[in-house]
Amino acid sequence: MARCRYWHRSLNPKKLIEVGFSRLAPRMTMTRTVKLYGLPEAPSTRGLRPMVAADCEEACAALNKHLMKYAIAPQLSEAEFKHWLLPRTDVIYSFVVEHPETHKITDMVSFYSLPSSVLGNEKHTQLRAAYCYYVFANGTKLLDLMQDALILAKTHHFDVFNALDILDNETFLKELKFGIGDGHLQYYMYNWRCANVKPNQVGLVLL
Amino acid sequence: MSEPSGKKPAENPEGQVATGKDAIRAALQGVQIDDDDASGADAKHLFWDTQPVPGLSEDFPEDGRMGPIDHTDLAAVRKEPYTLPASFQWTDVNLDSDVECKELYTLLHENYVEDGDQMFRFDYSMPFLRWALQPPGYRPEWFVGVRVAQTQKLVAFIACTPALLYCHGTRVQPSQPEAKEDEATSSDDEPSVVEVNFLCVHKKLRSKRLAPVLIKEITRRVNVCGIFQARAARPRFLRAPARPPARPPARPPLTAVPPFLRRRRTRRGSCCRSRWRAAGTGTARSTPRS
Repeated sequence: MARCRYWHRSLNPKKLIEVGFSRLAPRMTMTRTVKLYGLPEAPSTRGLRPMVAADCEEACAALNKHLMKYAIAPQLSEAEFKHWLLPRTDVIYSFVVEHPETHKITDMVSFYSLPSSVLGNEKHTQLRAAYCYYVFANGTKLLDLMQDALILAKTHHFDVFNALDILDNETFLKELKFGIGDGHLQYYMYNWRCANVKPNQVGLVLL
Repeated sequence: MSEPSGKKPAENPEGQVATGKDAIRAALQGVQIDDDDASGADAKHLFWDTQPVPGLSEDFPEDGRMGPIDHTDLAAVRKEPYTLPASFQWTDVNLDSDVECKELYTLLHENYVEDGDQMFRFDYSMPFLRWALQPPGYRPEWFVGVRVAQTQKLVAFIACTPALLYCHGTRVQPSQPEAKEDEATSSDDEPSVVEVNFLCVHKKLRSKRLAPVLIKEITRRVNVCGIFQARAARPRFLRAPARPPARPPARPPLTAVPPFLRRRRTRRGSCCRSRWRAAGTGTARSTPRS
């Protein structure tokens, strides 16, 4: 029912090249490549912090509201929201932006950790990949929020940040130096007929 | 191109089950093997052509035809598990048990989705598996495993989790209700669909059509609970930007197109039409559907 693509953003280009995930471009040195994918040391958004249980009611409502704008999307109960989005080390990383004065939760960004075994490589055994999960940006520019997500993923020692072209992700992929991946990710429904949708109408992230 | 088999697997000869490789080899003797490299829109899908999924070339109007394809009567749902080839048995994988969770981890760690050149394989951690498979409302009987009877080795798996899904403003569920725009966030939060994931068959048991049995069995177990819709995706292992990322115009390209980025699918272990088919037939040569 939808055909989507992964995009990849190098966080640790040297390792990605060493394991064969990506390659050094012609006329490009490692030093320049590393510099190109460099990121600021710390996030820039004021009030950005890890999400805690007390944020969930508000953040859940905001996320559900946001998701309804897509053609195909889940709706989460608060219990499900807590399960899927409260941070768990090495599994799910979620951050919210709390407005400094109103203390409202204006934004949320999350990514999950799905490493891959590196097969037959002498130097590396695992590739640490972060995958973009659910996001809403009601107070911060999505581009700035995602830039901060990249920084946070790098801080947590991820090598690459992956995102599909679903949700509103198209709006930041190129600018944040994501490269388009090979091939497509196909979404299917079993026993449900509906019109095919464009990737940016998909509000559903599958693990 | 494969021929539809439709045959039931032959009985496994007695006395051949030993341990390890022998056990697996013996188990295989009872299984119909198809050399299936069918691909493209004209391909016959032995299994999927029998299932309520949209056809490959089917076009959908923008409106009007949304809804269930097959209206199954709950009372008509088969009550007994499907029959596995001899030498195999069903098991519910208990994720609360560290031992069984580790068994599942190991099965996936060694046999799950790889890239086309076998340089990378997804490595879902045990905490991740518990997170992904045990959301509120999960059911232990939806963690469907297959063991070799003799050795009790876990050799195949499929799972699903409940979810509430909206499609064009309509709750995805068996009997399509009137679409009420403002009802979306206020209607009951019972699960409407299941999300199928982690279909994996041991590498040495590929091409043996175990995957269709796994899919039919998990479908049956879900149907018994009154849920008749599922969602899935084909999480291929994708890597390496195929085009350089956005950059200032004066700079040289950052990344080249690696020659290994062939359109090739291998041993996908999960939950979509093509992957299921690939896992069930062992083919690694079919081209992605478009």
